[in-house]
Amino acid sequence: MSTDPTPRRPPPSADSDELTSARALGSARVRAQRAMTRRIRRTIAAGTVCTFLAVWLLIFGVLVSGHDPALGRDARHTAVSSTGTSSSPTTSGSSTDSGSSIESTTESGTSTDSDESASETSTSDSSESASGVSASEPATVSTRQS
Amino acid sequence: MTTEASERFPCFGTLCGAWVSGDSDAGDAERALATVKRCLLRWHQAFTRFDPNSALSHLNDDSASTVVVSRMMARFASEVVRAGTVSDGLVDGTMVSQLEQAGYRESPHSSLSLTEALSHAPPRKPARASPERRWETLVVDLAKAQITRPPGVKLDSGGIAKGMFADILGDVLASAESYAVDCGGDLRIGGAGGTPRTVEVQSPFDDGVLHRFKVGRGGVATSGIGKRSWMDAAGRPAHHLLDPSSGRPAFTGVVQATALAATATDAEICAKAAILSGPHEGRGWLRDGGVMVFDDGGFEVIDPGS
Repeated sequence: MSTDPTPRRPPPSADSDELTSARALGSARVRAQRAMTRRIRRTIAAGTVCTFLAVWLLIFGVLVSGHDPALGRDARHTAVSSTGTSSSPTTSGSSTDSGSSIESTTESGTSTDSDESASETSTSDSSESASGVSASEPATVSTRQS
Repeated sequence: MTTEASERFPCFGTLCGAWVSGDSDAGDAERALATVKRCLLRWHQAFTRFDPNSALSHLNDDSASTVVVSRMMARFASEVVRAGTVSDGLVDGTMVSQLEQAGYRESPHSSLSLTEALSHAPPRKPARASPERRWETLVVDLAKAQITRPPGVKLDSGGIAKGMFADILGDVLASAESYAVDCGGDLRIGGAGGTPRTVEVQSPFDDGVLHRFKVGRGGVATSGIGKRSWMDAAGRPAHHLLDPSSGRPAFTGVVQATALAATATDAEICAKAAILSGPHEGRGWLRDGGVMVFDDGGFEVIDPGS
């Protein structure tokens, strides 16, 4: 008795057509899902790249225009500007023998308004502290004989 | 610029203070201010000549030729030597005996107005270095924190110490966005942000503002004869800036000098040297900028680099 190595196929029937349709439908759905997945991935990737470029351009634009927060002020104004005095200010720097430098701008002017200055020099038993003073530039200090 | 915090308090017989914005090695601004205040009050106690129990008084009263001191005291002594060297003896921090003889034995006082003092002052002449050059006899070993000096050589803290303190605290605050330390008028200014700060120079006659500088970083100091003037026992006007050559209060024609320099200590040395040198040679000490005020109330502004 000989055996047929070829596996037998079930006889054709109405079920196989349905099966075939189901398989075809399933394959189609899988393909559709895969295509949709690919579209979603492409969309996300494109959106990410565009967002990154937009943010980068924004920051670049801010820095190039001079508004660098790391410098604490408008970086375009590197020298000190004169304010409110009669004579022209001069900005100059000098180097000492030690190699360090001083940056200073003189503003000539004589004022007899001593209220603010007097309060700075009066000796009192109490301390004075202030915080939360927000200013575009640091507080003025005075040098005096002690 | 971030919010700036500040504090002022009595210290060294006058007002001291600090302004800080941003974080530094001392922490946030509030913590940095507390550190500044704590340090200055502690150093005041250690370096005052008017307290017999201060570290400086103990050093001056110690009869041993070599004395072990704190590192801060050793550093101060080295600055006294440097001041004498730089000024060729004009700024002499070893004139304690002469100061006491002139009547400067206790906390600063001013019983004589500047105008009155000038009206009774002797003829004006520039000061000169002492022939004894006592500051040259100081030997300071910073590593061992030892000071060696001949008997009788005593150190006066004064402006040199204040400038040094301002510099030390300035180094601590250097990483802050902006800072200023005021040790009784000796200023150290700076900060990582580099924002210039306005510094007002006050008149010694009426406390008005003579001039304003804008300083990004560096030291500013003012020396003068107006704040601490009195009549001595002989009825002569006296103050605390002595002519080293005579040991007497110096009347040079300059009543106040403000100096800008890289550090507060350097500014203090330059300011003192300028006032002691007189009107003609004084401006040579203000190459980095400053103001000289004369007997008649007139003043001259020296621009940086001039």
